[in-house]
Amino acid sequence: METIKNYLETMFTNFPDTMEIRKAKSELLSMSEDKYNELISTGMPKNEVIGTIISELGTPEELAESLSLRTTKQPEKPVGIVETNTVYRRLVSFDEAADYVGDCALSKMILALGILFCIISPAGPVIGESFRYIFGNNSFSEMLGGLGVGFLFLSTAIGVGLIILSGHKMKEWKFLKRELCAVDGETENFLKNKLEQSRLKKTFSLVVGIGLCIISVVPVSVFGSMSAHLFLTAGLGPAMIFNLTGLGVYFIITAGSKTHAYEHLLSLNNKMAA
Amino acid sequence: MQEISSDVIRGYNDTIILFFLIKEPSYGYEISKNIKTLSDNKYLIKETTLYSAFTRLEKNGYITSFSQEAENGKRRTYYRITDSGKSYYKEKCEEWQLTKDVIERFISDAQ
Repeated sequence: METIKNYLETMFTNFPDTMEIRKAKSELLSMSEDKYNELISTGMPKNEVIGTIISELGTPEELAESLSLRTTKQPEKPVGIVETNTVYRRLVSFDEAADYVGDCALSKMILALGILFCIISPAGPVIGESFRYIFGNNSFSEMLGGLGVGFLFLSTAIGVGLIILSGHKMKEWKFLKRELCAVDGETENFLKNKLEQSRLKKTFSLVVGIGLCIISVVPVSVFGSMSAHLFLTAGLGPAMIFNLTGLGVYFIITAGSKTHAYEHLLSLNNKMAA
Repeated sequence: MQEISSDVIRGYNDTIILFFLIKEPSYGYEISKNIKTLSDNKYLIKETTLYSAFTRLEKNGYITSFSQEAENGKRRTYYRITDSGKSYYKEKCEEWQLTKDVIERFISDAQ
């Protein structure tokens, strides 16, 4: 029975590990088990039983057809040798494609948040120090200054943590780069549609991000030209440079994340074996 | 011995399976064994063909599956025919009568 189990495993190696495939595998195993027990009870030698079962099992191509899995033929060799081998591609299901796009967006968002926290961290001490322009040099102002410095460290720590975390989510998708994969027609159409929509969002996000970076210096120059209160010119204004830049960078980083994911998935079908 | 052509019979695998399920719910190996017996060992259905047919029939709503424990304690997937499966079977039988009637007109012993 081990031999048959192994044979089934090999038969399915080129198929994706989905619920549908697992069910097919266990059903075929169950049928083979029944057959095995019956043939053994007729007194047939074990080796012959295994041979019979394997020879009558059929081919994986047959399954691929009914389970709507896609196999793609390799291009013919130019030297006149016709390559008849069929190359199996791991099929990326509709749900997986959607998950991948979601994970890409999430991972980019975490990364962008991490960078955002790092960029805005100096705003803490800048604002904290400038409270003395309001409350004077007393212990209350000193405490607020200390809180500002605390914010610097805390924000940097959170930022670095998020940056490290952002790569983690994408680990399970490494197979997309390693193996030959494919998406079916329905998924492909869906992705093409989404790609068009995402391009518009990407442009919008980029414009907002770049705009925020540019206007980040506006508060400090406005406060300066109005010769406003020192808290505004030396504290809030400069702090706003960090905050607005951070926010701008956030928009710029997250802008193309989905577009890129759609493009990557759509390129899978054209990838050839090395 | 002349072997049966799988191309010809392919269109009727579903009919053959439904024939057994009309009598009572059954499972994979039992059906394949019954096919073998009833065809006097002339038609051996491959397991992958059989399983493909099950999934196709279930997708089309002609059969439903359920899990049941056999006497020896083994869990098996059983299949049961639905009402639309019964009418599909009837249609296929009529189709075959027509096919047989037409093809037979072109079959001759004279070489």
